[in-house]
Amino acid sequence: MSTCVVTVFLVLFTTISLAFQLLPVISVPFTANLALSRYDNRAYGVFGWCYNAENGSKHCMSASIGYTDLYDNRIVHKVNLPSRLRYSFTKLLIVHPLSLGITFILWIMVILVLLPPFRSSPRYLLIVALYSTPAFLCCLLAFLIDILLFISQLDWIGWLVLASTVIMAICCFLLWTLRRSASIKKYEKLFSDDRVSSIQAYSMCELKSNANNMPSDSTQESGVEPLLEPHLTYRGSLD
Amino acid sequence: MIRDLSWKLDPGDRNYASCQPQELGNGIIIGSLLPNIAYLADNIKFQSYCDGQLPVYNAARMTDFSYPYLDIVKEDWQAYIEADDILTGSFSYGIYPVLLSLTANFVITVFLTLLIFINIKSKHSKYTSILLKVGAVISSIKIIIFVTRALKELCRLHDDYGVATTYRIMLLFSSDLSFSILDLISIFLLQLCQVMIAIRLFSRNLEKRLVFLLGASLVIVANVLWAIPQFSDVINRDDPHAELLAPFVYLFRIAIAASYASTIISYGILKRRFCFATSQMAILTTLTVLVVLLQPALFLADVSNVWLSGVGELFNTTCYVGSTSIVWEWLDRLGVSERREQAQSILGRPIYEDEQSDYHIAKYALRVQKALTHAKSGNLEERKQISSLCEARSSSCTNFIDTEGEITFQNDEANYIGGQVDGESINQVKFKQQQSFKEVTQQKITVVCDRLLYYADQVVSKSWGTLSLSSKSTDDSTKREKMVRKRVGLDRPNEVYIYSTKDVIFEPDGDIEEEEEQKEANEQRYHSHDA
Repeated sequence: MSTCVVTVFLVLFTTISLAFQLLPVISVPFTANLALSRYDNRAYGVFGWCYNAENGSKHCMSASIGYTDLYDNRIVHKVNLPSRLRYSFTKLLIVHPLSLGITFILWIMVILVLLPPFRSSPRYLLIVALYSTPAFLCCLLAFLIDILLFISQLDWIGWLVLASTVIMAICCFLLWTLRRSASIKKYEKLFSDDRVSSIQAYSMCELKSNANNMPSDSTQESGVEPLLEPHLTYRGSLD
Repeated sequence: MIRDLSWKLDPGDRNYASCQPQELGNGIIIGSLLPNIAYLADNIKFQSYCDGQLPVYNAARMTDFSYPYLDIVKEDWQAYIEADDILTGSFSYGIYPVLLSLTANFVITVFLTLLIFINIKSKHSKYTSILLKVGAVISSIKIIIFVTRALKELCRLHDDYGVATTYRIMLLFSSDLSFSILDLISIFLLQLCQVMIAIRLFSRNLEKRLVFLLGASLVIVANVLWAIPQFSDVINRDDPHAELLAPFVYLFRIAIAASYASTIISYGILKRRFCFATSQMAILTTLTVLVVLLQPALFLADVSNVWLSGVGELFNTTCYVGSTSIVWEWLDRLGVSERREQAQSILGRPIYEDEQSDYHIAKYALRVQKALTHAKSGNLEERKQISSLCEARSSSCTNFIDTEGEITFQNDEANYIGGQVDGESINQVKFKQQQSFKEVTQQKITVVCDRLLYYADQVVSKSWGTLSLSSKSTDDSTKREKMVRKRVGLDRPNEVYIYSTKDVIFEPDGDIEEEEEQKEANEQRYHSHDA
């Protein structure tokens, strides 16, 4: 598969992941129908929750980080999480917008990979690949928090975060593969035919004898540098 | 003081009347604990024994002669075991499954520790195997301590109250200081082992370095954050912000475990040809997948059923020991079969382009050679100019012109900038120029990065993360290999030499002896002359 195709797939995957992560963030109380979880006439989102009364009316808390009890005239509607955790833990849902932000930056970086200079730069691809690891971790953390808070009562939007996590893992894998292929290409470029053909090859014995006969200034004038037997060299070993 | 891990549990507003004092009126109290066996008392109050405001029933055998419980206690107990709630007293939440889990964990952990000592040899991957062994031993000690203390606690409960409850056993997880410290150390070591295992999955040096740096930092952060709510008194538990730390770190650990599992599984998918080559490998692969997935699976079980949260903690140790030792063995076998195939192929072991990236030393050598070429072909005035410059900055300049007019170089890394072979003559090698702040900063950052990479390469890639190919080699073969390595100069593989190439002529042994004899004779003659 060529790098172009991989890059297109990457952009596609990160876009899907971004969209999947956007949905929980814009869920209740911002939108009426989207919710991370529905339980006991309550709809839960990242920034708040809503209570659906039996008469059809809907009461939502104002958007903030972490849930609070809902006051409707004199009636107090308490947060009733499916997991029975203390509702102060709902502040952990902050990871959702954080993850969205990180994924958004990754998305921009991946779009830049479409440009040839970035696509062929192993260093840039290494940075993107490295960045994708915490992005994946954040996405996974967001899903785990959903599971911790809502358990099996998670709505389809919550499960989309799992899908997003899997997609991010694939993106990570593709980015590391892309970096490897860019690195190999760069290496192969060093030994490309054009480069090799531009180098003149001499026999060492011939040059040695010529160098002894030739005066030092003449080589300078002719523009051909004498090819000396290396006075210094190195030895290294690879395990 | 150890903090408890009760953040997972919200007791709710369920109240059991039997856990509150009951007015019984006037009557006679009979009991061996009283000063007299029987007592006539007014306004007697009775409170049934409860654990964490939850009813507890007698663990002793009831006979026809036993005194019956109060009706209120019986009713509460019935309500407690029948409630469709996470805080119920059904059989699965009872003491028997807990004891079964405890003993099973104990057996598995000790068995795996023994396997680690028998199977894993510290031939090439010395530090990792030591880490693994130490981690496994600490885990075994920890679980032995826990089982012993749990049984002692059960014994005490039975003797004092005639009950056996899970509540007190679960409380040991958070209240026992020695257990918590051992838990932290063992998990930290085993997580580091997981990082080392992850390093083995990557072939390229650069990736090995990055995996080490990323993995080690994640492990350190996770364990430091884990220790804060466990041991610190500074954090106020009633502070709603501070209490978030415990669940966050719990999830962070699970996220790291899930990442590890996904890395191992994706590696298994890439090497599926070797994973299922033989039936033995297929079984081991299946076991590996199950073991690495156990921890995320336990998390799901944990959050969906709060009772399991405590046992999840206990299974945690077994999961870590299993996910390091079994995966280690699996990778060993996978590596052996892979290398066997590589040995049979024409190309042999693959060499990656990363292994010779940058060419720092080669570029340095080329630069020196180029400089020599220029200097040899340049005029004498130019050389003198260099000489005067060198004298002016004698501290930084190590070049000098010898009597024959030839320029010789000593190793001066300060003059070698950036490793680029450009068209710059040696005469202009930054003698006059004052280095800008940017260049100095860049150089210092490069030095720090190089040292970091050097550490990662030397300690991690070459010492810790190297595959131990054969775990059944004898001492003789090790000695033989050492001898061969020393002979071919591989006993010091990390050293890089820069030296002058000269034809080395090995003189025959006879000649050397003759020469030595001649020298000795000359010396004797010299001494005799002196005398």
